[in-house]
Amino acid sequence: MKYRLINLLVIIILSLTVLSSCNDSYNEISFFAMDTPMNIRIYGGFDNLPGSAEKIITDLEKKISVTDTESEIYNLNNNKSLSVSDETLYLINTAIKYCDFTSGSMDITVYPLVEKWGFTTKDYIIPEQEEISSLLDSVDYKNIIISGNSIKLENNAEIDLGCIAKGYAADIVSDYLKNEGITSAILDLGGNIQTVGTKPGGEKWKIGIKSKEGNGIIGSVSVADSAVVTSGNYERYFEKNGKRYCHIINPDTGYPADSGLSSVTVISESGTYCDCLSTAFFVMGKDKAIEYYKKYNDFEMVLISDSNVIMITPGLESVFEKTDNNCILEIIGN
Amino acid sequence: MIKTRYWILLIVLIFALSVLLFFIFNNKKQETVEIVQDGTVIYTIDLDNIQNEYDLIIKYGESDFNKVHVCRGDIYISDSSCNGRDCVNRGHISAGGFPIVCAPNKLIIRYTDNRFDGIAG
Repeated sequence: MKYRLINLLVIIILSLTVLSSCNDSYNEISFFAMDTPMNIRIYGGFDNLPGSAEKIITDLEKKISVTDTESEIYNLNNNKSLSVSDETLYLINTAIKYCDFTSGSMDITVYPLVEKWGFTTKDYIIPEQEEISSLLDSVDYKNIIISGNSIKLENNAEIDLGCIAKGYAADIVSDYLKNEGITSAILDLGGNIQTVGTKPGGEKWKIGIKSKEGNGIIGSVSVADSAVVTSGNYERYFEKNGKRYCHIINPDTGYPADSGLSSVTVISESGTYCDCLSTAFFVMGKDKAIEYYKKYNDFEMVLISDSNVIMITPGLESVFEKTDNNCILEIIGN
Repeated sequence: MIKTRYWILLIVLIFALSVLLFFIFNNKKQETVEIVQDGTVIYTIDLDNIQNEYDLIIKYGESDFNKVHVCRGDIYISDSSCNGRDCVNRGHISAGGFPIVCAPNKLIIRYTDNRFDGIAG
C-alpha cells in the first residue's frame, strides 16, 4: 500500500512538471519609435534588456529622424552640409552601398518626391509632370558627397533613411542581445521582423505574410536567426480615379512604383539587407528581383502580384505554408 | 489482485488527465486582447466573456482621447481625437486580426494570442 501511494505521488508530480514546464518566461516591451509601434520579446536574460534595446532604437532615431529638428539628418537636409557622428556616417555609407547595389532602385534621396506626393502629411496630390521633373534633379544618391565625417548634399538633395532604418535598428539590437547571451528573441519593429535564434523549445518562429490588400494572411514562413521584411503597396497609399498610388516612389520616374507587385517580402540573416532589397525589388519588379536572386543567392523572397499570385523562391519550399486558398502558389528562381 | 488493477487504472487515468489538460489549456483559442498605451498594458479583456457591450474612453494627455467599443468577440475604436482617424477607419480587430493602432495617442489594441509569432508588413 505504501509503495502504491509513492508511485501515485510520483505520477502526479511528473504530470504537474509536464504542465508547468510548458510556459517559458520572457521580458517584453512595446513602444513607439520611428513613427511606428515596436515590440521586443526576449526569452531569458536580465530584466533591463528590453529597456536597453528600446534605448538603442530611440538613440538612433534621435540622430536620423527627418522631422526632429535636433537630429543630424534634419540639420543636414536643411544646411546641406554637416559633420555627422560615426553611426550616422556608417548608416549613410551603408545606404549608399545598397543604392549602388540596386542600381538606384532604392535611393535615399527620394524624400522630396515623397513629400510632394503628400505621403508625409496625408494631403495627397498628383503632382504635375513639370513639378516631378524639377524634383528629379535632386533625386540621385550621387548628390551625397562624403569626406571623412563631413557630408555635403548637392543639387538640393535631401536624405531620408526610412528604407534602411528599421532593418539596421533590428540588426544592432539583435547583435546586442546575442552579445548579452540571448539565444531566443523576436523583434517586431513596425512590421520588420527579426528573430534571434529559435523559440525556447527549439522550434522555428512562424511569421505571417500579409495578403495583397494587407487585411489578411496569405501564408507564413518558419525561420530562425533571420529577418523577414515586407514592402507593400497597402502600407501607405491613396486612390484617385480607381488607381492606387503608394508611398514607394520609383526614383527614376518620380512616380509611385507600379511594377505589377503588391508586396515583396525578403528573408535573410540581416535586417538591413532585407529592408533595402524589399524596397528595391518592389520598384524593380519580379523579373529583376529573380535576376538578383539567381546572381547572389543569399536571400529568399515571397512576391505577391497584383493578380494575387504568390511566388516563392526554392529555399522557402519546405518552410512556407500557404493559408489563403484563393491564391495560386508558384516557385520562381529555379 | 483486483486492488492492484484499480491502483494501476487510477494512476493511468491521473496521468492521462494531466496530459489532456495540458493540451486543452495550451491549444484553446483565446479571444483576449490587450490595450497598450505608451508601452503599458492598461486593459486586458477577454472578448469571449463579454455579457454587455460597453465603451471605454481612454484619455491621452490633457485633451486627447480614443473611444473604444467592446463587444462579444470584437473590439474597435469608434472615435478619436487624432487628426488622421486611421485608427477609427481601421475597423474591427476581427477584420484580419492585426493590431489597431493610434500613433498620435500612443494606443495599440491587439490580440494576446496569435497563430503566428509575428506578422511581417
